[in-house]
Amino acid sequence: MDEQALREALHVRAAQQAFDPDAVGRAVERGRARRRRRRTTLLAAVPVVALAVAGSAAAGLAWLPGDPPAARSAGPDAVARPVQLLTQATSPGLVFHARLDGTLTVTDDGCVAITPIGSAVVPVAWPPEWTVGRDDDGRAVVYDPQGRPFAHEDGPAGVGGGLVNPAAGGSAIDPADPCALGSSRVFQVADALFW
Amino acid sequence: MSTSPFEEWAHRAGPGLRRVAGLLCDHPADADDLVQETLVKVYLRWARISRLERPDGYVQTMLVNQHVSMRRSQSRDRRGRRWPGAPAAVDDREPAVVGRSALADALAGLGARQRAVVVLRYYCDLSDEQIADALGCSPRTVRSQASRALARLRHTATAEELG
Repeated sequence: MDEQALREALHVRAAQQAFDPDAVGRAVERGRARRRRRRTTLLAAVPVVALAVAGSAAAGLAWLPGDPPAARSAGPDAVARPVQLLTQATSPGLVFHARLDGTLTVTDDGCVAITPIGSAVVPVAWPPEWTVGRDDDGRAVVYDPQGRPFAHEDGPAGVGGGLVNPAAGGSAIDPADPCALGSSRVFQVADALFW
Repeated sequence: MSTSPFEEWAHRAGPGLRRVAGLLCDHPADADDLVQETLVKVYLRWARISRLERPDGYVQTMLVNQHVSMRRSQSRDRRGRRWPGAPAAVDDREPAVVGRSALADALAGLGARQRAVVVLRYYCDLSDEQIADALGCSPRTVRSQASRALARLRHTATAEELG
């Protein structure tokens, strides 16, 4: 098969494809739903951040980089505790091939991170479209861009990506975000790249 | 009821996106899903995308990358690492579509990135540099992927079969 034959065959096959105009309306509905869900998560995060800041100030705690806060397991009181994701400002490129396996963990600040077996909690920067909520049992659930549950709090979680310094130039991660956990090494998830 | 600028654009650009998606995916339903998901993402970023000089080209790149990403998730599912709550994976390399063309069978034998390179190069007529930009790799990688893909396609289907 030469390149010209391939080109012609592709055009023939392409011409047989039919677009469903209703897909536009469905996209608008799904987009609105995702926006609402994101807004809800964001609004829920505001009081917890304010409480965390006030609590830290009141206790006079100094939080040193490299010494992230202890994680807490889900329980009955977890339902009222909002959760939040540190998301990347832009979609990551296909440049990272590391893997982070462990347990999905929610820190005292309500930040969703991953704790590898036998290691300290690792702050995670999720791709832009990923969201978080709580299930009926009060456990945090991370959703992928398609709205599918990816992992549950205290359950197994494995992501692909790489460790980056959020303070480095060109980083898609806000180093001041509380969910960066004050660490100079954040695991940037590449899986949902352009996502 | 009046339509929004996004909807106007989507109705105009949708058929072109669906054609590309149809070349990237083995099953029409997968192609529909791919277009749908891409349109949702475009809707969410419409304020920024609408200001681009060539929004159609940008969205086409989004679609191709979305496809590569989805294929990677599917192969992870096939390897048994299913995400909790994810639907059962379908092996789209099985000849499930009876009577599909030789081209479809040949394309089904390619990896996601090789297939994307073939579609962008021979259907969308993009240069190797443009493809490299779209896929986040070097032009050299594009050339090697295209070369391997062509060799594989030649092995799978002859010109007569494609015609």
